[in-house]
Amino acid sequence: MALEFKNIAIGFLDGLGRFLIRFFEETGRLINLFITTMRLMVKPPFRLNLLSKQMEFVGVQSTFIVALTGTFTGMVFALQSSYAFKLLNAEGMIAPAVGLSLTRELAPVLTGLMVTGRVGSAMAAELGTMRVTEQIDALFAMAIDPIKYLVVPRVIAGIIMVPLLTILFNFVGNVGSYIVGVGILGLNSERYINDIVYMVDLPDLYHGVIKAGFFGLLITLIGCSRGFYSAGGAEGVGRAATQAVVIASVLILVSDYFLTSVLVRIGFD
Amino acid sequence: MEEKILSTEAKVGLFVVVISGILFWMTFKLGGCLGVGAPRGYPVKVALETAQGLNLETPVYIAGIQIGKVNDIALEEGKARVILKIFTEYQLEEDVEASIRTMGFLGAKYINIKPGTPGAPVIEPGGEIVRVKIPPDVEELIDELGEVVQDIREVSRSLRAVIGGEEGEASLREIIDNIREASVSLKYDFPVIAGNIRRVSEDLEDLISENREGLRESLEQFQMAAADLQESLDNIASITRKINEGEGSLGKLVNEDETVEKLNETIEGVNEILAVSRRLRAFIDYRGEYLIEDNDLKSHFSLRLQPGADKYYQIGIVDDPQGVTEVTDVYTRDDGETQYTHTEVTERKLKFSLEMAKRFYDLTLRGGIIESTGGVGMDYSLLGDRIIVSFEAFDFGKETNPNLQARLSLEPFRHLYLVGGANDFIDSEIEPRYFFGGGIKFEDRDLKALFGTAGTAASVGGQ
Repeated sequence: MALEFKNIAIGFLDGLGRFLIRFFEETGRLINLFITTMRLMVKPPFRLNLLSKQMEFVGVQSTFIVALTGTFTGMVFALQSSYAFKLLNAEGMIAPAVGLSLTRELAPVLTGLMVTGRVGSAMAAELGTMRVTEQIDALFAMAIDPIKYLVVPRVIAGIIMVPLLTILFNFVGNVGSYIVGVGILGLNSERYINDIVYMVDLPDLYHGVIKAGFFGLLITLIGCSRGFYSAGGAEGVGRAATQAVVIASVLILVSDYFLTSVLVRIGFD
Repeated sequence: MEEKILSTEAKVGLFVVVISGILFWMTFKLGGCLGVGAPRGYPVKVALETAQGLNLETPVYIAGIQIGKVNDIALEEGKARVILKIFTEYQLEEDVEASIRTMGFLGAKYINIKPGTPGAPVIEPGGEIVRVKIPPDVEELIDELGEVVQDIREVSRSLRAVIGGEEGEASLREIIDNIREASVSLKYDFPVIAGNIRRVSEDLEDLISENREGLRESLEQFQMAAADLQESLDNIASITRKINEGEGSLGKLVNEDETVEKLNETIEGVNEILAVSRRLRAFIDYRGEYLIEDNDLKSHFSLRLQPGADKYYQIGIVDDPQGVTEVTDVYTRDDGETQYTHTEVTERKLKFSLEMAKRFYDLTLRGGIIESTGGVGMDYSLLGDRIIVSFEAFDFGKETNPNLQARLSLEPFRHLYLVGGANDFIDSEIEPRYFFGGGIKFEDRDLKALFGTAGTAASVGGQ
């Protein structure tokens, strides 16, 4: 009996230890990859054809899904907030409320999550397949730095494209809220736009865009890291894809809080 | 491999350009950066007791439509001086009323403007809204309500001090007792009073019946007097009817519409004359030019009459050392031969100018008689008339080219100016003659009054 308990306890500690070691290992890899990527980013040769290919994949091909998500987010948010503001007889606050929430919070986070689903998983799967089929080793053998060749263009594409998609999200989101506010709730058109312009300021917009840039870095870096260090054949590739999505999504939501507090502190409020 | 319509680079480029376009648009819309995309407007001041809750960009509404925004807030003599930017397409009458209102119950503050009388004079850019109404805000209302409650409490407390307590009760009871006593005594006294009244009326009746004859006579006399009065009234009625129907000169004067029209016309005419003479401004201008080649001074003295901002008439006298050249061509027939004598006599004497000018923004075109010959000129003003570039062309009758003059005048101080330029600068045969000098010009209000009166007299005489 005592022995059994001892075994369970040892097993638990063993599992915890393994988890912690793996956690630190993954964190270290991520940071290592981040630093290497940053260093290689400013070092020639710049492979612009690879970069534009990734930019098309991350940005251009996400346009439709982001526009769709943005429009409906704006629409439903206007509809929901109208119930609350009608109670206070303050319909004039619907447009600014939607506009502010979109620019500061919803646009960067939802864009980040959409891009994670589309792009993060695909990157992990692509790089993971290259790893298990030893293509990365082949690149290495040909004296091509695989991080420079594979990771750097993806990370740059993420940092550039996610903010741009966020701006698109902002735009279509406000268009959606305008459609609901003016078309369905029957508010005054000119007044609706004026209210948004009056309450939403440029720092609000930059606040969201800066966060989006950070999310772009996070999504692509985690996707690449999962794929780049994957092991264990087809199963390992699948696991890498799933983990990339889960870790990136969670990190987006968690880091969002800290980023917001830092940005507010330095004046983007 | 199939042919791609758009290359990867093209797609990425298109994407980035479109999104950047959206970003720029939003930036200008939200930030009003560099004033691009922001509606143009003009400033209007308003002094408020408090600017609490206002900030830059706070909207200004008339009837719920935004017509401007708050552009600047500053403290001036203990009041908040708020500068509004009213969009160019809207105009405010002088009697509009500004107040700070709140959107909804908890909403943001805005400035509401109650429209003025249509047709009233509008506020010029930089003008001020004079009428301001401060609606009490919720806090003030609560304060006042508190004061009212305090008053009521005090009143009730003093009432209680008077009525309440045994003393108060006793005095109340006393009052009621007094009232009861009074009503009881009235009950017994009333029949006596009624009897007295009846007796007095009976006496009156006896008096009337005794003097019936005398009363009748008085009444007859009164009737006769009334007949006389009636006759007088008929006469007055006849006179007024005649006036009313336009008989007689008084009737004509009073009745005909023409009289009223004439009166109105006269008043209008006088008004117009007064308005013109009020607008009329008179300027005196003296200018001396030192002619370098001639080593002599040329003087201009002119009087400018300006009935409006865009035109003026100018009368001038010029003393020119070059003088006036009189050309005489004489043809004499002598022994079948034609003889031709050409004489030019140059004589120093005063020249006259009489010009009329019309101004278009900074450009003034003028023409008439310049230095005793026909001529035209133009002036271009810079820096609010501080610098004037002038060209004049006159003396077209000259053998060679007309006299062309270019002149630049600078007015560094009010009323005093410097001038420099060249004469005959187009003439190829004569060297251009340069000059420089200075002058003084000022507005003469006495002269204006003089012309105003003369004008009035002339106009009235002409009517």
